[in-house]
Amino acid sequence: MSVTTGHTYYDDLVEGHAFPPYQWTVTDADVAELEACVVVGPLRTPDGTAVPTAVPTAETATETAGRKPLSPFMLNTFKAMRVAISMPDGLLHARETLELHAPAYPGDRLSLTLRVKSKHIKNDKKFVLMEHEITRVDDQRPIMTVDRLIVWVK
Amino acid sequence: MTTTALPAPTVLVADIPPISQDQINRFGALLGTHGKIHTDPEFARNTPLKGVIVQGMLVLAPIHEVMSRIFGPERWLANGRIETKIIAYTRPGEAGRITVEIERSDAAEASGSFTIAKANGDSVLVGTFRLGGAA
Repeated sequence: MSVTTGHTYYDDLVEGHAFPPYQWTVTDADVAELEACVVVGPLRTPDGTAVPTAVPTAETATETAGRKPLSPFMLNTFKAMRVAISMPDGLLHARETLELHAPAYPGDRLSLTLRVKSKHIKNDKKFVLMEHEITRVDDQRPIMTVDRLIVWVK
Repeated sequence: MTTTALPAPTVLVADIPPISQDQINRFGALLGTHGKIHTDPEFARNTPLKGVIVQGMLVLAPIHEVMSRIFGPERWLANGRIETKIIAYTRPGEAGRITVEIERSDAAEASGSFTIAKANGDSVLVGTFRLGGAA
């Protein structure tokens, strides 16, 4: 970590290092906030023909308890990185892989383990691949794995 | 719940309305993506990017709703995988369109590619998807 700025830079990150788990719970208010930010129109063909909704949408899907599953993007938080690392301004997101294992629901207690999966330098750019393993605390069920490739500022 | 069988290849699209600075700020506060390059127009103007850019994950997030509509949320959330590369910036106020090309779709597997592009057709994000069978 830089002594002068307190920020975490490329050389401070160690491949294979896992940070302490970050735990949180997504609330109904969080879901409403995400829905205010993420908007998408109806599905159609390129010529404008509407596609019948023959399958339940994320908006209408319910479990027996009437709960709607969380968007993976509600779980794909950067807060774990911000807790673990003093992120300098200027980091750029290059690639993302999401592997989904099971739905999660509002109120679930979730745990995210963040790990420095790999680092490399290409064309003078410093890349860090951060792995995020998200599990539900109650039953230890894997929910989602995210590999996030970030161009580190220096 | 079963998923509607889709002929492959099939191309489907969905429009993304313009993303406002308010949405960018709220998304950033919600998920920790509140770096100044997204939320501070004055700071962003004085960087090589010369202005605010939308978080890549805010641009990508509608893919969840699209995949859920096509394949059903149970299958998507239990067995889905996407790989994506951010290839250009989206600015506040820019609209987008998701185009999904389904190359295979049957009970065992679905796979294909997607692009998120600006209104002028320039791609900002490209990726592939794969789903296993129904959970």
